[in-house]
Amino acid sequence: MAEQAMILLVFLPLLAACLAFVLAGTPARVIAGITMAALPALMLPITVDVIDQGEIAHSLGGHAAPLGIRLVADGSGALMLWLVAIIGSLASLHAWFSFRDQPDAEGTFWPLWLILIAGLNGMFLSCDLFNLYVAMELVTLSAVALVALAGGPVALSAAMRYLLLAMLASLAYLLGVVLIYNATGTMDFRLLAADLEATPEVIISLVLITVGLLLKTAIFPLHVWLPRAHASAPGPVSAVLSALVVKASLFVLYRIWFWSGAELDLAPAEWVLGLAGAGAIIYGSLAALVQSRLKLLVAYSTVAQLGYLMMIFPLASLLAWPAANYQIMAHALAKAALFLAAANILRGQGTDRLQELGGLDRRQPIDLFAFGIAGVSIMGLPPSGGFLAKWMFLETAWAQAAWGWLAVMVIGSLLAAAYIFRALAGMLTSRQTEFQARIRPVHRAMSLSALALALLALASGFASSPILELLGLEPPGLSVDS
Amino acid sequence: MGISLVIDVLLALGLVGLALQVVAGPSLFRSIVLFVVFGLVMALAWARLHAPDLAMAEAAIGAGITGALLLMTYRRLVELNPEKRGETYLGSRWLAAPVGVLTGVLVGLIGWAALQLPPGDTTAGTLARDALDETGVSNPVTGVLLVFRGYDTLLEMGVLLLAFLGARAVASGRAHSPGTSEVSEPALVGALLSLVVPLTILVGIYLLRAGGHAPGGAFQAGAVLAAGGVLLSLTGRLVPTDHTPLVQRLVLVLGLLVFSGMGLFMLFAGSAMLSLPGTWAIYLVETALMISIALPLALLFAQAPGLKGRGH
Amino acid sequence: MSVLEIVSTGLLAAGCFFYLAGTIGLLRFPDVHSRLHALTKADNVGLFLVCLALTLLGESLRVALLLLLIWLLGLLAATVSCHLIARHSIRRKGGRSG
Repeated sequence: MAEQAMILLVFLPLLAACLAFVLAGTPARVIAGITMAALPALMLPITVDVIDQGEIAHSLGGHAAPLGIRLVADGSGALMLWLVAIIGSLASLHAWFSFRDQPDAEGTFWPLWLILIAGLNGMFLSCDLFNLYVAMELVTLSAVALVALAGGPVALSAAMRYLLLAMLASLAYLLGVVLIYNATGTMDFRLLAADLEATPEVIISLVLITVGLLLKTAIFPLHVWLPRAHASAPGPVSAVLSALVVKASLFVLYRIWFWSGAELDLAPAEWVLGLAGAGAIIYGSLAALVQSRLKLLVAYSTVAQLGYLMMIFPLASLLAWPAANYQIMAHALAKAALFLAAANILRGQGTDRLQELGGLDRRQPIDLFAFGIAGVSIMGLPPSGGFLAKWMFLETAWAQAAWGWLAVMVIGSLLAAAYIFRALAGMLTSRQTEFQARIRPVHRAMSLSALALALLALASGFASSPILELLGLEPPGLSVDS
Repeated sequence: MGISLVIDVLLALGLVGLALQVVAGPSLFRSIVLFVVFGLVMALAWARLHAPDLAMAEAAIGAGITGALLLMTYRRLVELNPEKRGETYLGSRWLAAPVGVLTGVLVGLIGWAALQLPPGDTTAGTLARDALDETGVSNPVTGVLLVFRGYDTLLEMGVLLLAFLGARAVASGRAHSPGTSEVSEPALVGALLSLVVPLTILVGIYLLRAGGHAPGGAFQAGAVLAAGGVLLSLTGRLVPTDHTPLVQRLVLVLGLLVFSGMGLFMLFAGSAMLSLPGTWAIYLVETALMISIALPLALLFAQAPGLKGRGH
Repeated sequence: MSVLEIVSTGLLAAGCFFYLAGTIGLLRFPDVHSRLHALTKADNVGLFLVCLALTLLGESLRVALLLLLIWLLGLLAATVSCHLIARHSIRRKGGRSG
């Protein structure tokens, strides 16, 4: 039952995409809605089994790895799949209403969207390096097409740049996978662990794979494609891009480092990754601080918050793993809320220039409220999920007396507070401007979807024990306290 | 040993030389043509490496379809910007040398590292070779593509659908071009089509059937059929439509539907997902894949949501 | 080397010579029409000789028929593309191409 649900997580959206493409129009929207609502239902049997047995697996075609491909759902994988289900559904709710007045674009939107969801689920379930490459292609290409769907020269050039850099990243990743296969004879990243030794071939392949995945995750200094792509995409697309798509390639990186590389001593490289993360936090936050447009501010905030996820490498320890997972979850929920709220504000005011947004507490109160609450999580204030994540990181840094990383994370939080408050101040100040006619109506459900995500980000700060119980065992590469 | 070494060195030098000309050449049109030649020499290299399936795929898709797409794109760009006809957009040409050197160093490193250790005894490839008999096909490539790692092939069909959808997403809102100009048709074209198009279909079906025991398969067959579609589109026998007709939409997703449907049926009937009930299933799926590969490639070339016969 | 192989090698060499001549013509002739002569006539004779050589080496009727088919398709492609290129070249210079 749970195995079949696991497979349906990929195939239901895929088949729904085909149906939505064939039928088009209103039936497509309905099919998409039913599919997205079904995802949380599919997650229930999977979660129960994962908590009971630790993980569930299925070998496709009946061929066991290394001959065939395995799908595996373990604790952190299940958490990611829950994020796809929840954020995907709420963003779909937003898209249901926000794309209603663009029938031509909508016909292309739903199939792309459903394939994106299928690809994301495929990435979190797959145990095979080459299959991860194919699933990443599904995710990347649908993401690029969805960015391009916004139309206009800015979105198209941002999508083109995203495409070219993502193709380069895929090439590097594939080259690394080929080398690993040559060295070990298998592509299943759990079976790899026994065979990997620190030969030159393996080192080169790990470097290639890491660089490719860092480029896909937009970690500083390989982040250049992200701000414009995420800022010019349609609202629900930006939400899923920042919340889920960049996390998926990062998750693959974690898998390779902490499962496949469990036997290797990767210490020299870890501080390089930590430096990249520190750079991301500082640069991203400073860049967000000087932005004049709301969506660009939120996009640069993504660059900054992704830096925290790199901190698991230099601070590798038992506590860092739940910290990183919590940061992924809290940031995904909060960032999706921020992007949906920002999209609503852009739609309702006709502009997202901070100078021209004023008195939103009267005009779009729900969106402003959602932005504020999500901002609380981004800043890392209690009692949000973001606070818990950053607290766990700070705790492990303190325990290891890693003052440098600790300082960077604290400065990052302060800068995050600065740019969030700057945005909120711009939106709250009453202005003498006349009440502009709304450019496009913002349906109540669009604002409520943003609010729901923000409240979830807040709630994840309270409901930590079931989530930590789901996360379960630490990866093998982190079983030694450093 | 001597002659084949000479041939290999010539091929390698040819590839590097062609690549340099493509990247650092003076005109865009010349670069495109040389890129097609590069694809063909690459196909020869694959044949020398004893990978005939790859050679066929490279020749059909890498050189053939991609070349046709690039040339068509160039023509449309010239139509839109006639004053920029001789221009090369190569951004920074001075980047070619340092990037080339860097890539060469990287490739050299990879080659040196890969030659250090021999591969292990049991790799996934040897396991596949041993398990090939029970699949019913004797071509190991088909066995891996459809039986052992069918999930990858299925997702790749999703990638093709994405390519079509992506082209639609970018083209949305753009008025469709009027098509070929009103020039009288050369006399030989009709004769050519009446000879070549049936032959194309025959070759495509043959490649599909032969894929079970010889080099071939759904991708090569689909590329050949797409080439037939390109020919018909170029000669005006197939004209673009405004929207994708229902039948063509079904064909675009047919491969995904058939493969997933069969896989899910097997899953709920008790076996593993994507296990195949028999060798006949392989050919059924491959046929669906073939037409699902041919149509999006032809539509991408025609830059249209759909195609219909001239005179409809 | 048997007689068959010697004859095949000779035919292959002759075919390569014709290809070489065609390529030199392509590079050295002054205008489109003379280049088309070199490309189609010389290359097709070369193709014929190469196919003949491979037929002798193939030693089966099936291979012989397939190689004949390949040569005929090569002729067809060369004929039509030569006609189209020449026609386009004349039209571009403003003449009538009938």
